[in-house]
Amino acid sequence: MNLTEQQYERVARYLDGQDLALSPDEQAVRDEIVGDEGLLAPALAVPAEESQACIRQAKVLVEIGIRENALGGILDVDVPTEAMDRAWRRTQAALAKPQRRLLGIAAAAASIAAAAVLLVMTMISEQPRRPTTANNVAAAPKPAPPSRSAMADAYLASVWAARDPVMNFLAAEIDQLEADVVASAPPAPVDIGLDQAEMAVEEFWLDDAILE
Amino acid sequence: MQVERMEPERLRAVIVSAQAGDSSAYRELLDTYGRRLYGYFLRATGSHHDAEDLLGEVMLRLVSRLDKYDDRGRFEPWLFRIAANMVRDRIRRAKANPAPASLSIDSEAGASRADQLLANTGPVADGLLAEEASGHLQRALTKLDDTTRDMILVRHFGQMSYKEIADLFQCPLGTALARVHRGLKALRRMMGRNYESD
Repeated sequence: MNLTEQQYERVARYLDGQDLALSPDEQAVRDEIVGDEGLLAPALAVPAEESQACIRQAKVLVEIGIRENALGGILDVDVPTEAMDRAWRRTQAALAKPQRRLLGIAAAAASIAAAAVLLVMTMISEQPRRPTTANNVAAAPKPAPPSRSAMADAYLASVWAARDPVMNFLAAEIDQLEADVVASAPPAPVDIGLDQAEMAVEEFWLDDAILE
Repeated sequence: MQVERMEPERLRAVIVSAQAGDSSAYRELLDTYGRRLYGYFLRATGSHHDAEDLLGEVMLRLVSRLDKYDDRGRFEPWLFRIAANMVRDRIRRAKANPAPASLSIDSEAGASRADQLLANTGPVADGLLAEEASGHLQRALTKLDDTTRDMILVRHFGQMSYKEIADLFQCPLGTALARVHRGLKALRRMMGRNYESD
């Protein structure tokens, strides 16, 4: 037999000791529960010997627990404020350590990156420039920048010129005179022979390439 | 069941002594409630080893928590409430890790917890019939859901009222009794002839 929630509640109150008038259905359930509990009790009983052994063991544990509690009370101390402050400062320091390490790593990484950028820029500036238009079409070649040796020569020349303008004037005059002599003179027989030999060699290699 | 109890006045005095750290007071409490607690743990877990362990543990908790006990309440429900919470924790852990200590699932060797209980109970003074009934009951108990089984057990061992059971399990009063009623009927059905013979 099953009851409603309210009926069960009334039976529970009755079994808990309240003086209630139960309906026949409620009385039947009450009797059933009381009977089942009575029947169950002997089967639930635990052998005394078995429980006694455990109780003896639990007594030892209780003794230990009581002593631990007492010891805990003795061991407890008031913590000085200074000690707490110091502990907190150490905690803060320990918390800050990782941040400092990160900053160091970041600074090192930034230095390496800057060095790499400088290196790349230097390498780019060392390479001959290849001018392009916006459509990546090769533009007209521009004069190459002066090499280091040329710059050094120019520097030395400027130094030299600054030191001895007279010598510079004489050297220029000599250069001009040499140029005039070379341009006005007829070709020598040796030079003509050399030119003919060069042309013969070129024709020989040209014919050989065509035959292959 | 013959229930060991203390007179209320005596119990109050013992609790005050225990709260002051008197070990003899704790011994008296253990002598009074130890057998019921052990029985509750044994039936709830189905394991002699667990029951022994839990009995020691509940006494240690008593030592550490008795100073918080409010004498206006009833001591037994308070004590068995601690015990019931420990059992629930133990069962929850056993279900999370079923291999070593399952209540309802057979062990690796094929023996249920009820069979293990029978193997562990040692000498039984009440004879073979009682042992057999005890084993049948244990097997039947493992077939109930955890809450219903625990309600029946705290009712029997903790001598709790239905109002206290409803409070402990956080359910309406009528629901608590309905569950106990259905649980008892199920036990009777499962136990069959063995139940009736007792």
